[in-house]
Amino acid sequence: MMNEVVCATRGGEASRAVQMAAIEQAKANNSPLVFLYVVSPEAVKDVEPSLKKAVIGEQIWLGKVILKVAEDRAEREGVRATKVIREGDVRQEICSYLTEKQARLLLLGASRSTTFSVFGDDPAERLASSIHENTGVDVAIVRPGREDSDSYYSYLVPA
Amino acid sequence: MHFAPLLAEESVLIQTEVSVVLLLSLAALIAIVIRRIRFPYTVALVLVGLLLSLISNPFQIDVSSDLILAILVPPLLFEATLQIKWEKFRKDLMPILLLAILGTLVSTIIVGEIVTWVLDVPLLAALAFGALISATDPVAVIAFFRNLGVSKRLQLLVEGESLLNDGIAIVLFNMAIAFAVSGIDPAAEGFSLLSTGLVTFLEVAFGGLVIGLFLGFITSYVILKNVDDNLIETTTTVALALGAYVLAESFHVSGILAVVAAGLMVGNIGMQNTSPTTRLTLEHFWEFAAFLANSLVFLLIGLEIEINQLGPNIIPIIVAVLAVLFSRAIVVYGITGTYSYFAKLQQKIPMSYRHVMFWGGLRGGISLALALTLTGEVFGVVFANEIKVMTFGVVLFTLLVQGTTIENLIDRLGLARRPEHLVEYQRRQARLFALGAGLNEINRLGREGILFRDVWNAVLAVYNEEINETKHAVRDHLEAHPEIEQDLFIQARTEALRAERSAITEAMQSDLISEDVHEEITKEVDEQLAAITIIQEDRREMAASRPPGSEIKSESDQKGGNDE
Repeated sequence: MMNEVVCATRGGEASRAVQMAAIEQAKANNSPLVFLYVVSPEAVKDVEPSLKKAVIGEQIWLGKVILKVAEDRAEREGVRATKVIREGDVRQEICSYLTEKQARLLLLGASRSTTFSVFGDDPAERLASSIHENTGVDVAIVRPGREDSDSYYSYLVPA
Repeated sequence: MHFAPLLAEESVLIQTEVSVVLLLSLAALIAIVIRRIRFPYTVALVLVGLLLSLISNPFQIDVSSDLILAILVPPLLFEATLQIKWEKFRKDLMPILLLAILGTLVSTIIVGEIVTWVLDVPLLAALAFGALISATDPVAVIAFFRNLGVSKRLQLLVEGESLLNDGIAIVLFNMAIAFAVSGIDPAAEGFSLLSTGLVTFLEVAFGGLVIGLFLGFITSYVILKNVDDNLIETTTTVALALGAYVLAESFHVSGILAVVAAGLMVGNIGMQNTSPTTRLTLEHFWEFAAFLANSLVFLLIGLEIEINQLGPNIIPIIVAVLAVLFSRAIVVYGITGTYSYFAKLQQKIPMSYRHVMFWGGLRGGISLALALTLTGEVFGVVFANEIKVMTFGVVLFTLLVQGTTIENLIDRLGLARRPEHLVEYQRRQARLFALGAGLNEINRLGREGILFRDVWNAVLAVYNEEINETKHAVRDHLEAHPEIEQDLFIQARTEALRAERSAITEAMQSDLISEDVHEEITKEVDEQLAAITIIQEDRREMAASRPPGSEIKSESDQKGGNDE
């Protein structure tokens, strides 16, 4: 069984960059591609208990749309992708999915206004190394490029 | 038989009704025109009111201070406080209280002293003017700041101050009048006057707050929590907003602070205790009530200001405007500067905020309402009129000059919350809409035979080409800024859910479904609408609270992981 390339996406600033980078990786290595969206009810602040269920429902709805956009992007590049929605703590859910599927590579997006940190204090890098330590899976952080530049993303795949 | 008085009474009632209908139609007309030009709605209302008062005032409405303070202001304050979240309010409570209490007191003294010194107005009359003109007007301030797209914190600072400073302004105003009536000389009394004033202020302010909190508590825990009927619950909040004011005033405590406290209680507790359907009904109802009251207040301000009095009194008006601006500068820069010096880094008030707080200190209906209570009995006819004219002048200046330039100031200070990529997206989208409209018109001209086939085809081809290019431009921009996509998803979902809600109501009206099923499914959709609004607000809040370059930290730290 070929090991999966997993792209964790939430529809933010780096979503296109991280999805395209994942498609490129899957294509280059002929690996199955999975777009993973984690619904995290705790992430939305000030939700009263009576609305929690509805908020989760709407997050799932948004997740479906975001994953559909990603799937269409992959299809246009000739790559078939699987969509997965999970519910719970983002870090834990990503780790348990990677372990269950024995994935090969995880791609995470980070905002355009940050750069790769020299001192290892970047939160995205901290998250990436925490996932790598827990699962042993390689994690790449993808940042979108500027609109006017040739490359619309940049990332480093760990050796 | 006593028909004659009855008929006369009815005729006054009908005349008032006709005037209200005319005022509302006028407000709606102004609102429609304003949508097409970039001009503040409230300023337009005042200008139209002024214009009408110049020609002839066709409205049979007696603009008394009670009409403004007891009927029009409570709904506006209640609606404004419904939206204030205590958690955020609490964080900036200290600077808000300092500005509202100390600021109003200092401003009253500065304005009073300047007016006495320059215009030779008796000290107590000048202090009464200082008090009525020192409190920034919540109605004017909120009406302006809602549409300016500034950060929630700046909005809260300005709104919070304006909501709370009226209490002290009214107390100071009443004290000046009471001292004048009892012949007390403030210069001679000194310290004892200050202590009497402080005790009176505490009684009036806390009395109002206690009454408002008590009524708000009863409404939130007894009615909103236990009665599951959106119409009854909304009616109760109307009774609360108006009743809190009337009850507090009948106990001679601050009606305005009672409404503010009741609104805060319902907004923070009552709204959580009720169903999403009621919440939506309350939001829509109070939005409408505030629009209505707002329109009437500003039209009436325009109608009430005696513009022919302004010319002959231009010197006192200029002195009053300068005194108000000077005192506002001392209060805002002095208090926020001192507070920021001692505050923690995150709680400091940036200099750009201070400029907006200074220039955004608008005066409106409440100052006017207090000035209208002055008769010749206390300070004499000449000084009472002088105070009224100065009030008209300052209110007009703040609304027409400050109100029309504040947006520019906010833009120049870079405080408008409109990210460039969003503006660019809207620009490209607007071009697409415009081209689409142009294409439709070309097709109409072609179909009606006004354009020859060859010309039609050629123009059509060029239009189609431009539309395709613009579509690509929109798509490219969306691809470069995928975060806009999510806003579009949310917008589409909200519209779709609203359509679902209407369809359910239509199904019930056509007897396709029973009222029970209608209620059940409507509740479900309302919960979905409330949920999508929460998600959207959370996204906006996070985007607004992020300083440039800190996206990952806030998002991943707060959301426990994947920042993207």
